[in-house]
Amino acid sequence: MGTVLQDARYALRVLWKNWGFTSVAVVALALGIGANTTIFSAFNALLLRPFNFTDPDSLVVLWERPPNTSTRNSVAPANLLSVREQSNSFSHLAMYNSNSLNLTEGDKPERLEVAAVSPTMFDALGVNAAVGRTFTAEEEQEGRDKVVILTHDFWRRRYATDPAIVNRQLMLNGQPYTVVGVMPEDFNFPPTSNDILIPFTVNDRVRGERGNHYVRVMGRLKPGVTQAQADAELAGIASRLEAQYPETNSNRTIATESLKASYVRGPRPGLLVLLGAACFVLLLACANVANLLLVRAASRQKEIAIRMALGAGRLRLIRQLLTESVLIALFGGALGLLFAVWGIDLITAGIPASLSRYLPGWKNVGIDVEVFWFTLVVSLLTGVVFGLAPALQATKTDFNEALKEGGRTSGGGGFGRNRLRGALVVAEVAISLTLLIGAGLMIKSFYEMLKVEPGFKAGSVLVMDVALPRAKYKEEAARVNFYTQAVERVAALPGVEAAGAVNILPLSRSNTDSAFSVVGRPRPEKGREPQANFRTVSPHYLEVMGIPLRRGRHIADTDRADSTNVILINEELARRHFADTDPIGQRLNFGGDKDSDNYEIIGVVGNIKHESLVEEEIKPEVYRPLAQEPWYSMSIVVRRNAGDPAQLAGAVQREIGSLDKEQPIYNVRTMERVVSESLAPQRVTMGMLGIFALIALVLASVGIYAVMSYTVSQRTHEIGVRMALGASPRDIRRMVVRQGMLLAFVGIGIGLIASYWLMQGLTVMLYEVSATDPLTFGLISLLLILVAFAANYIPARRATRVDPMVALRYE
Amino acid sequence: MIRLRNIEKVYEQGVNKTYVLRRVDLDVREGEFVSIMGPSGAGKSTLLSILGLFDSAWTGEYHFWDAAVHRLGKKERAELHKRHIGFVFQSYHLLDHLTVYENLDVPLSYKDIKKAERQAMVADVLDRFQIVGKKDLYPNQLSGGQQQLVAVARAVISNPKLILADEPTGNLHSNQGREIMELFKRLNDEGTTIIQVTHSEQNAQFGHRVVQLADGWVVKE
Repeated sequence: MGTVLQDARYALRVLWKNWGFTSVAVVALALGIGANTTIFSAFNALLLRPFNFTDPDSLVVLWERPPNTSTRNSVAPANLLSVREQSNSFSHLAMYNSNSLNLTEGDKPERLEVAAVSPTMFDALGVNAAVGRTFTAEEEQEGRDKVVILTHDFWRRRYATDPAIVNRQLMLNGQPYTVVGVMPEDFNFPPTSNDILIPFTVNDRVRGERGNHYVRVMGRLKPGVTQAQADAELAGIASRLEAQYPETNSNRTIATESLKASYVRGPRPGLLVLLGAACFVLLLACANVANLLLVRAASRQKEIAIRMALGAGRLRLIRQLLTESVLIALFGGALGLLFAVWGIDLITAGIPASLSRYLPGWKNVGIDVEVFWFTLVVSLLTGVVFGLAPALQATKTDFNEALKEGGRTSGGGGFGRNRLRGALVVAEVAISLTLLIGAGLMIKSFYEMLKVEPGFKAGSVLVMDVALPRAKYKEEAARVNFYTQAVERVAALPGVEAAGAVNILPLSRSNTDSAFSVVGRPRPEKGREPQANFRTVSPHYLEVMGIPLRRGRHIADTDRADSTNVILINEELARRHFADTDPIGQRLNFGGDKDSDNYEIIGVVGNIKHESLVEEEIKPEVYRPLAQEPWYSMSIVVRRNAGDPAQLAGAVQREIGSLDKEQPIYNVRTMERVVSESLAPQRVTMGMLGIFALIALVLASVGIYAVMSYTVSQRTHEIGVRMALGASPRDIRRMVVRQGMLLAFVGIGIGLIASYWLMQGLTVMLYEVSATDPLTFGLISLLLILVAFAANYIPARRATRVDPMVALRYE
Repeated sequence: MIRLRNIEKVYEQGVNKTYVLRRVDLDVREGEFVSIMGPSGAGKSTLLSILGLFDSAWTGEYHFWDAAVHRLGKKERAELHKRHIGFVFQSYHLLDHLTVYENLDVPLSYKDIKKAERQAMVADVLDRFQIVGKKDLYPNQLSGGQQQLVAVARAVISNPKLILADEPTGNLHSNQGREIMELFKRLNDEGTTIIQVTHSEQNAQFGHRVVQLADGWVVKE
């Protein structure tokens, strides 16, 4: 122990004395370790530990799906109730759903994010309330369900953690609910940033609902039951349900998926790519510092030789040198933690709340104890990895040679050391090329995404959401009246060109679709009908959004509740089903045999990107008039004449608010922001990869520069001789640059081959760009060649300043 | 061939000036073999490096044939050096990682001479210096005398008009030293002008005349 401390003390002194070298090494490692810590903090929070529940492996979600497909549909509630009755695989099965309710309390109404959950969910997850209690089984019955649990965040935000909150009454959508508890701070299920939880009510409507698949289901497997066994049992139940309810359950099965897997699917590919990239940055930093250590070891030959002459064994010397490298790595780790704080800020700032609310574990992204330990372990390992090879090389010193006074080293420390240095430079170039190509592909892909025509015009459009309470707006006419007036009033505001309303905004991560058939054609088999996205829009919505009318007419004020049911269809639906006939005047049936279940097509409108800008398949879409199918929740869209539409926000909110003082208007944002936020994950991945690639480029160029500078200093004598023999500065420059560029070219060659294979892993994240895009590969190689040339040229220029007589006299 | 007038070289350290050469006048005719002698620090090597066009920080006039060296730029001096001057060093200064053959090829490679021609010139020199058998050896496989022989061969390979030799036998024992001096004598007899810096009276005997330096001054010629 004493000698270890002595080693550490001595190492600290050496590092302090060589503070220039120490700072460069510490910063290089800090960049590598910081990159890893940053990504690990997100990886750990989002992928490894998104939930903090006991025995997480037995938690599953249930999906309904057509057989032999990977499609995942939510579950029809009555089907889940059947599974509950018939299954023996689960200890608990709970339904949950996202919703929103208006809280009227005090002077300003607030719209709350709500999760409606089965009371069994708490037992399934093994969690309890922090204050008060969770729901009892009876509270899922109608009439007993007006109870509410607050999330810890909402309790703090709205009630300043008032301990007397339990038993307080809250007016939600005009109805009194009793607060029964508050959840613990780290509770995050369902992971949608909820304010409150209410019971998922099981009433007669729910008990009979097999056609609408709108609830999510989670459960816990009984001890000893595997997912495969549960799936087999569920398949049996599904086929019994199919026989019993052929109308609704034909061609549907039910299957499980691990709860964790179902929630990490989204961020997983991006984080894996970034983690790989961060590892590359660290490897690069290690190669860089190892190179610096090798260079320094050459100048420490004499010291090492003296220590050997004094009886130090090789192991003892290796330990001494490793102590130095581990100390450098620990300093690098400490600084890396600081870099990681900035890195994490960058990531968290890059993901908008509209997206992060769907990421369980998001709140835990940051430096915690686990991340700290990770950084410490990585730092220690790093210290050994980059320190070992130089330590082994340095202790191979021939001390007779090294101690010879004036003994001239040939080319700076022997063939082996030169070869190792060269190999490290090659590795640095190869790694940075790979990172740069990865970043280049992502940038190109992102550029392609930005060029995508979404089918609508987002510029100058302001959007906001309104959710009318069911109790107050039970009548369809009341809802139609509210939204029609709201749109008319907003449209009349100065500066407003047009206004409209839609139930589901494009790129809002929400959708509703419905099976349909063409009236007059044979009906497809149950469960195999085509599906179309279903939208409810006010007149002028399509004009506000700039969605073009291709044929027929727009929805008009004359399309009322008591007039013929009409719809607009998109071009994709027309292409798929009316390729040979004029769709105008044709009718679609959306289930049911009454004439009122048929809808007449009055127009064809342009396709739009709905789910994401990069969706590959445009889905058939229909638009119904607001007057004929008024939803409770709608988004109001407003197009401004000129200027920033956000400036209209206040006036529009006031105008709609004046219709109903208790009605909150929320989520006010520009449509451009909606489009931009839809690309946030790609932007963050691209940004982080870009930063990593930039670090890589700097590290690689510093690496090449350091090695070439050192080589030049070691070749002073040779250069002097060559100049004395008639070499011109150009000859010397060419010689030095050629040597460095040879290493760079070998590195680029290896990097290109490695990239060719590694970039396949990026394929899922690339849009309209091949993973082996020749242009990106070519341009990035060229960039690296230029950087390598510059890193070589500076030492080469210095080489030409060698004074031959001085160089030759120095024996 | 060479005419130096009033050559001075000064090192300035703060306010102190150290004169290395003082008002040196020297004439060397073509075909001469001149020995520069003097105690350590007299300025011999400095004078040699000025003559060899390695050093440009001096004052005075230097004429190399028709060329007024003191008026030439860096490039022209380098060109003049490359075309007319060969250098032999006390420590041979062969390049360690090149073979004898490759060491001989180095000065030719800087003169844009075609490869075939270079091969012929190297073969000729190897033959003339009787070191054909050693062409594939590395310097550390040769004795000191053999190394200096290669160094002289390297200096003459491109047929320079002037050979400058800085203590060419300094690191050799007497027999080897004598052989090298005889070689210089032969080269001089064949028409090459030679200026050597030496401490050895014996070696100075091989030349036509001796220039004595002391404290930067030419004290005897």
